[in-house]
Amino acid sequence: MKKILLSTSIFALITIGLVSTAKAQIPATRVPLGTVVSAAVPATPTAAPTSTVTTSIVEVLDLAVTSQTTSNFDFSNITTLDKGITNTNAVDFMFRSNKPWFVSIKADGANFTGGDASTPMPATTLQYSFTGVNTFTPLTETATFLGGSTAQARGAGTFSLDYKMNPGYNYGPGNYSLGITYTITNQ
Amino acid sequence: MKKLILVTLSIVLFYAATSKAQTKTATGTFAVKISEIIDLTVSSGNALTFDFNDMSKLDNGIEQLNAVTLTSKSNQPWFVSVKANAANFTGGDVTTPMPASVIKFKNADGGTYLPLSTTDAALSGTAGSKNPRGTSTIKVDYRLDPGYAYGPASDYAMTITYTISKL
Repeated sequence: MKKILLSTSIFALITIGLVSTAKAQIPATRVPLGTVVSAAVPATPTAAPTSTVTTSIVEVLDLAVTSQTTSNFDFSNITTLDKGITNTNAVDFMFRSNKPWFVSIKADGANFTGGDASTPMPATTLQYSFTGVNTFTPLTETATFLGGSTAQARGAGTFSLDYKMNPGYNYGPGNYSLGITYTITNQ
Repeated sequence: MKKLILVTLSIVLFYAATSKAQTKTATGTFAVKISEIIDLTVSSGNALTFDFNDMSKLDNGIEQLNAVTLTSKSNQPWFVSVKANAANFTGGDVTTPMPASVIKFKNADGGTYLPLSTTDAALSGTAGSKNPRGTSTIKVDYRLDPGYAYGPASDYAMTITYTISKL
C-alpha cells in the first residue's frame, strides 16, 4: 500500500512539473536530463478581489406632533360665529419612514366633550385639510387617509394641517374639547 | 437535512417579521371656546312714516305690513319683546298728546294686533316659550288708527325698542 501511494505521489509531481513547464512557455531549447530548469511565471494582468458587505436596515415609521395651535378657535364675537374660523398650520407634524406611508386622522369621539350639554357638538363641525390644499373634510370617528389612496414618498420631513370650524349659532356657549388621533402606517 | 430545514424556517420567519405593517400614532386635543352671543338688529324699517293726509286714512287707519324686519342671532334660546320708549308721542299738538297705544303691532307670521305700551310685550317667543338658538328674521306689522282725536301736526314721533333676551 505504501508503495502504491509513493508511486502516485511521484506521478503527481511529474504531472505538476509538466504543467508548470507548459505554463512557463520555456523557449525550445535542449535541456539535458538532470538540469534544473528555472523560469519566471508572469503576473496576472488584472486583479479583481471581492468582498461581501452585509447590512440590514430596520423598518422605521414615526410620526410626531411638533406643534399645535388650539387657542385660535375662540368664537367670542358675532363675526367669528357668522364666518367661522380657519386656522392655517393648526398642527405641524414630523414624519420619518423608509417605506411609502399613509397618514389617517380620526376623532376620538362622535361629539366634542364639554360645552353646553343640551347642544352636543359633533366632530364633523371640525374640518381639516392639508395645508395649502384647501379642500376641507369633516372629521369623523372613522379613520380617513389624509392623502387618499396615494401613498406618500418615503423620507423624513414635515407637513401641516389646516383646520376650519363654522359652528354657527347652533351650539350653546361653553368650552368644547375633542381628542384627535393621527396614525401613520406603511400598508 | 435538519440544518437546512432550520435555516429555511428562519428565513421565512424573518421575512414575515419584516413585512408586517407598522403603525405609529400621535394624538392632539382640540379646544374650542364659544362665547355667548345674543344679537338683534333692525334690518329694515328704521324710520317709518304714517301720513294721514286724507279723510279716508283717518277713517280707516293705515296698516304697514312687514314694516320692520329684525334679524336675530343667538346661540342661546331667545325671545324678543317690543315696547314704546315713552307713554306718549313727542311733538304734535301739545293739547292732544297721543299715547303710544295708538300704535298697534303684531308679528307678521300671525297673531292679532296689540297696542304698544312702555311695558315690554312679546313679539317673538316668550320667557316661558323661547325660540331655538340660531339665526332668524322677524317681521313686524304696524297699524295706526288715530281717528280724529288728535290735532293736526306733522311731527308726532315715537321711538320703539326691540329687546332680545335669553332670560
